Amino acid sequence: MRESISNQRQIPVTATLDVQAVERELNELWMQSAGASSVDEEGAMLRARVLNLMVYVTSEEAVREVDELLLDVAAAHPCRALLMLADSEGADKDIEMLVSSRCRIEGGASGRHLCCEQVTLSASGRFVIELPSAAVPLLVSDLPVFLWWHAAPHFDDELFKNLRGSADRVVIDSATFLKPYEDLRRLASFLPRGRKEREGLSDLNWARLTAWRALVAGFYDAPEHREALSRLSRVRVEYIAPQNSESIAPKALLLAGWLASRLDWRASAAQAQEVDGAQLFSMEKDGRAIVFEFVPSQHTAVAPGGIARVELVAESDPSVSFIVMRAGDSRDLKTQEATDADTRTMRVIAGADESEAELLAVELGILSRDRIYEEAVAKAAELLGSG
Amino acid sequence: MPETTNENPLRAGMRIERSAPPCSIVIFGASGDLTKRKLVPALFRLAQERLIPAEFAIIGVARQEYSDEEFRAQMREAVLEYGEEERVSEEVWESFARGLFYRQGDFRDSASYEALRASILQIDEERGTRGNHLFYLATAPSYFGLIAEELGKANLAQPVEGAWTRLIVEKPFGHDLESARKLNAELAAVFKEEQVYRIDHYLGKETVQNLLVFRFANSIFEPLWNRQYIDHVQITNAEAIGVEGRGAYYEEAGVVRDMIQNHVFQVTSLIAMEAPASLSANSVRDEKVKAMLAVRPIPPDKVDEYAVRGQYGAGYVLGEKVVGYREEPGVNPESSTETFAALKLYFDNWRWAGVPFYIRSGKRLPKRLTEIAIQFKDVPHRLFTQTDAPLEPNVLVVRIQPNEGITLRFGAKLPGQATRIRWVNMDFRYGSSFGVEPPEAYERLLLDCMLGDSTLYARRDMTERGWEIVTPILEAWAAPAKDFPNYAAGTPGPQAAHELIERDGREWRRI
Repeated sequence: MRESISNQRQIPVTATLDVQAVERELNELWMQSAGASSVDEEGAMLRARVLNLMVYVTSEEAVREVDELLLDVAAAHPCRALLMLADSEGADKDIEMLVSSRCRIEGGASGRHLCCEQVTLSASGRFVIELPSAAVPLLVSDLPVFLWWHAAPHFDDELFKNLRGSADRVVIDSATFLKPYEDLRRLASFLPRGRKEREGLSDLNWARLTAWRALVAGFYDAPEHREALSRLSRVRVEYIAPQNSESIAPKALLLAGWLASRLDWRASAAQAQEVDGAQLFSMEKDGRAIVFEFVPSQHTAVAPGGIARVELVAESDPSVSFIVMRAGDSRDLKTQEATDADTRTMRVIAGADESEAELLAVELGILSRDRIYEEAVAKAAELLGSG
Repeated sequence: MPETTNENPLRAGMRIERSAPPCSIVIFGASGDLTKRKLVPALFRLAQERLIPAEFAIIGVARQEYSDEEFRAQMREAVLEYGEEERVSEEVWESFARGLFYRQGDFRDSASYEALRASILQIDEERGTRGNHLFYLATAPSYFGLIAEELGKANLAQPVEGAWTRLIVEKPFGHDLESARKLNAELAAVFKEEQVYRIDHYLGKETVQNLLVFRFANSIFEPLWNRQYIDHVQITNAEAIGVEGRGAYYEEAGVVRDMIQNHVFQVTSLIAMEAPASLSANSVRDEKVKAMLAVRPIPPDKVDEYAVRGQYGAGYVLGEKVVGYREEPGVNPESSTETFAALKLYFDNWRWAGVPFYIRSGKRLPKRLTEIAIQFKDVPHRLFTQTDAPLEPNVLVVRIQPNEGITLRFGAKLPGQATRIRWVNMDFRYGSSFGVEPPEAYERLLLDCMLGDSTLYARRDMTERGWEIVTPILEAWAAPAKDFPNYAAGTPGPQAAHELIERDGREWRRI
């Protein structure tokens, strides 16, 4: 049984934002939440926090979505959440703050009590740029700061640059890219190189790829398959077109970038082509040509921007392909090995139901830089070329 | 070091770095409860988390006649009943079940092992397991030595070149020092020590593993972790349940054999050990054994000064009337088997000289509780003589179950004009800080074994040392207990247990 208690208070707008007032309100809310149920058998009030999470959103709708999701995330990562609603298109309105604490009780009143404290700051028009100065003093010192950019990131945006400076790690979602090719190239140039370990970046879209990467890599744990890696000549990625975009899904490009960077393939001089709706990109290694085929596909169980099937092909001596695909119409994932003679299904595993909350919870557990991701992005940008 | 798949360039930086190599897992005693409740659900979970590869097989062996199909059907029910999954799609199950096999066999019959060998080799070929074998002894303990010997005779105990063969042995590991030594010798005649994995599911518990993190990833506790600052240590392992239908087994065991010499001593050693040089399996286990070797032997003629036994009579537990131990089914009405034991141990070494470790474990105690309490010494000089309450010592409590967490008790000034001191608890709870469920102990332990990491398994010398320490107690307690039952169910143990600690001017924490 799940039940939640929610308390909130509006902090009046004053000439200067009063950090003390916010802390005081939060304390009182905690006391209220604690009093509203038997917290645990010893009556101890628990207020654990392991990180700060700043969330940048641009719409009221996103605020509601994130509100809901933060309770799930807080279960794994008790945190102070600072939700910033920036409506830069709207009429000028000074920063408003809403302090809330919400607790979820798992398994009835005697069960576990998981709480999340949250300050929602909203501003519109010219006041948006002041958000960081209001939010940053509310961060709990000594705890790492995550910035979740819950919108398409504009890497040159003043606000983004400003908030990023206060964060140890930025979480984006490349599935939200409005201009995927341009944004990926921009991301590649933006990623830190050889800089501080803690200026890492997480991409929820990359986290969505983990299962696919693990299954693709799994083929080559077998030494007898490993030699085929140096003979691969074609990689076919079937993706579901992203919403409102004609371009290849960023997730498919990241997968390609990952393969190419791990296997040390380089973009070749050959031009990208379009054949029967498929986009073809050429790469090469030691004189061997490798063609990436990105094919838009329909699949009922896959959300826009997702991947339906990946096939890695070694075309000669002898021909073999390795396939990871959605099994039927389900979310399950199936792996196959196909030769000229036959196609063998190796395994089927339950597809992970990756909600945004679960993806974010995984990313919040990581503080170090993910160099494999950084290289995959760089390679994806190389694949796309400068055009 | 565990095997890695570094040669696979696509594995680099993969978030799941601990994925196991291909192997066949042969479970002896596959018709038993453990296989259904724990082993197969754990393996299924590991497969869904992509922690074991497509190239693996589970071969169940037991005396009953089942076909592969019947065994698969039973295991499917088991996964749904005892596993985390509420539903499993047909295709996912089929894919997993293709790796499940069953072979009927009589553990005493050498011919069975010959047939098993042929099956394993064939399945290896079919499933591409590359000759890696994990044998799991989930049978009655009397078969452990025999199965090991027969595996040796059937040429299954040693791996072929480039592969590995490992053996997991379930508890109980021996009945006393002599039988544990004999079993170890029987295993050692066929398997090398690094092939043998003795399970102690306590070590698979997240909070037990956290003891190492707590002690050695923090710099503030270790300087205090010695005789200079610690007055004594209390380790409590209390159960509210009785013998739960296992009366016949328990009659032969008792709490010292069932809990103390294995689980409680594993936890004790993690508290008492020195910092290991590394986290390698032998480095950690060397230190644990070294600590236990420092335990002062209990003189056979003074067992009463160091140990107290108890047996519960009828009473009330958690508001429910329960029968006494002697009235439980399968129990001798004049039984002298102990359902409670309290021990006082000294570690004769530099760190712990003069610091007693009080250990108690029992059934039908007021509630379920496993905790370690480190009680610090009093302040050297009492400044606050005017306060209304006597000064209490600082206590650090590491709670293993339930409500895993860490609590530190310290004094704080009560607000007001007078200087009054109250004792407050600073609490850290896993359940409240991290709302995620830790992995099931068997998942962790099985994966560790497949990866060749034996840190969380008991080594030969540790099992024997545990028995050595309790031998004088077991020998003294072989004599009938005249005062049994000596505590009512639902009370915190016999009066003598209180006297054991009160003689030293200390008292047990409330259960």
